[in-house]
Amino acid sequence: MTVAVVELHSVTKYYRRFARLRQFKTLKGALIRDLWRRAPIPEREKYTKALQDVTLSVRRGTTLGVIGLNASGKSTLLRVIAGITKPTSGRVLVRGKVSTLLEIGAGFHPEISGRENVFINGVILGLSKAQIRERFDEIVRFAELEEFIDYPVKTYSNGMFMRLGFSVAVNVDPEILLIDEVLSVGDAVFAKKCYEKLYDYKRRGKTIVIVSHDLGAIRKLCDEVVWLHSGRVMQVGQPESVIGSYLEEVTAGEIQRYGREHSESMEALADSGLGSAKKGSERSLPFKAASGVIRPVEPAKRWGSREVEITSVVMRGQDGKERYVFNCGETVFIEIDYTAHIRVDRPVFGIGIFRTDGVWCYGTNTMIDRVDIPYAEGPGKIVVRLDRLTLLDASYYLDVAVHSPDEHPYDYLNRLFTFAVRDDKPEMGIFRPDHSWITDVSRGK
Amino acid sequence: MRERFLAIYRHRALVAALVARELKARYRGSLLGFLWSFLNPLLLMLVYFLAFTTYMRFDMEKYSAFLLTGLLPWLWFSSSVNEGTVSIISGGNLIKKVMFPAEILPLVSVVTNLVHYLLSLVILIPFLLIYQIPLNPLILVPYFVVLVVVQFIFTLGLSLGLSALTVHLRDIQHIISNLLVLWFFCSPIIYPMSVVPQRLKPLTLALNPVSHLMMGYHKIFFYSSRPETKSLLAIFGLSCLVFLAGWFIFEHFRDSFAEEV
Repeated sequence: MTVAVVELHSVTKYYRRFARLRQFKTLKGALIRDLWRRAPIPEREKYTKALQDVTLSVRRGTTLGVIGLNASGKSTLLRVIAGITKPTSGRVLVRGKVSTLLEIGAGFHPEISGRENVFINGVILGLSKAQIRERFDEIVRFAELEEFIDYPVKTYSNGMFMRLGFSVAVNVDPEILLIDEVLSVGDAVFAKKCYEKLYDYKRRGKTIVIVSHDLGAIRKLCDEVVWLHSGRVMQVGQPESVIGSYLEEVTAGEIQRYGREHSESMEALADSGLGSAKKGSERSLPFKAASGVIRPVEPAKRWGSREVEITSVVMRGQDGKERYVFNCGETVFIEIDYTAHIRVDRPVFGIGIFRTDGVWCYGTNTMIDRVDIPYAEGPGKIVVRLDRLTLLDASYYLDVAVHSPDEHPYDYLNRLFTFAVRDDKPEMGIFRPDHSWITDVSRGK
Repeated sequence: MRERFLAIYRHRALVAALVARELKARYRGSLLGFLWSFLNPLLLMLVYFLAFTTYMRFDMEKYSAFLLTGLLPWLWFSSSVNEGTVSIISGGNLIKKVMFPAEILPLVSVVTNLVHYLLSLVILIPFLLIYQIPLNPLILVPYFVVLVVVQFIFTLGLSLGLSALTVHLRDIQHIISNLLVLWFFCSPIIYPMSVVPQRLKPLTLALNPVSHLMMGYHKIFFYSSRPETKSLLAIFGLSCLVFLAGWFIFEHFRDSFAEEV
């Protein structure tokens, strides 16, 4: 049984949202406070509960991953372990020398050279001059900055700065290393080197506590994972099971978000219906920028002469439930409700799918697919069934349009609707063609 | 308190490194580099010299040497307080991200400017030689050490308290920078105590500890005599009080730094 090197006993940390004096950020405010006594801020609103009753222990030589949404208390947890902030209540026990990698290059001075900064940063992180001298070459080699080490740090690129900062920190060689979301450092090659360094730490029996949103990395690196939510420990244990439950929760939240986004889009659709828009005019629907899910490349637009008007667009999964987050490979239905204000012959309905970075992933219409619709009059519905939606993990726009056979637009909805595909395989590209690998072709030859 | 001093002592390499960083960075990138350490006070002295001798007809023998004697330690004091006041705010990323005794930051401001002061004393030498001001090292050295130590305690105490308060009340940095200008003109730096109106003299001496320091520097460098022991003891006592008060304020707010910066 190995000893616990980090122990937290029901640690709670409240941050004051307003400090005693900073409640009024200026002297004027502080003076006025006593002259015009304002209504006191309710006790409940004064504090942010960053950590609530967290009990944890990390045994020597284990790597603990900390996951959770933003503002769930992950960074506060590291700061409390590092001793940078004191818990409001509870006990923290740490046995061994701690090095923190909460921010890369903390204490770098832009005006002086990389060499001088390495020494200062090393001293800040707790090394002696002699130790730094001993490790200096290794630090510079690891950061791949041999040529630039004597130039002032302000001339460094962002990547060079990060590499040097990371390199100093990992070469401090502490017993306990705390890392906060800093492994997205530099290019892929350097990131790989960083991970190798961490594996090396592990092999040498060091303890690591790492906060990251990169679940793949956490899964590979960690022996144990803790999932924080609103400052509380939701689950601690094997990486697979904790990450699994975390992802379920995240997906559930995401489904809700995309659902909300869709209802906003539907509202906008209703608001821009006939009567509110001039016939045939193009119309920007800038409301998109306000919704939280995706930052659009350009605002949603609607145009067309509106003889036929699209009144509703709904996506459903195989089970018939309305949904805007799908797994790669799922069957998806797109239901389009429309109203033809006058009788229109041979209307053509079409859909287009764009990735949010603007890549046109797919487009088709009833004419291309040789689906004959003799006429439209009054309300109606048309459904597209995508047997297997094999787009890869990303967010997408769905364009929906109805036009005449000679491509005169009746109603065109551009970048109004969004959906997402989620998939945890790290595939690359746009879509997944149905495929398999045949491995024994050349065997025996 | 003993523990804190030990902690700072343990971090002496860090203090040294940060002081070196500040010194190196200060004039890095400028053409004249470290020469500015000498040029800045020299030019400032020339400005006052011009203003007072030519425009305001202030007549004093060896005035440039007198000016420089007081200006140099004043620059140490005012730069330290100005920089010390904002040291915690501007060192925010260190306090937030690294386990680090916060009092090091104001300490570094004071030490950096002390080093500057000691180096800039070199420019005093030609003036003392030109004006043939006799110096007795047996008086000069011990009293100089005493004055520097007292000023150090005073400046550090002030910087500690102000730096901690500034974290919560940012207005202080602006108040201080203006207050220092007033303080400068209310202290016998560019004028000798003898020109101060009689009724203001006790006030200047009683309320302003810097007056005693400046008179001390003038005595040992300019008048080649000893500062009054009474005056030295008074200001030493006061400096210790200021230091304790600053320390107390600093301790009081210490835990809030990482959250408030």
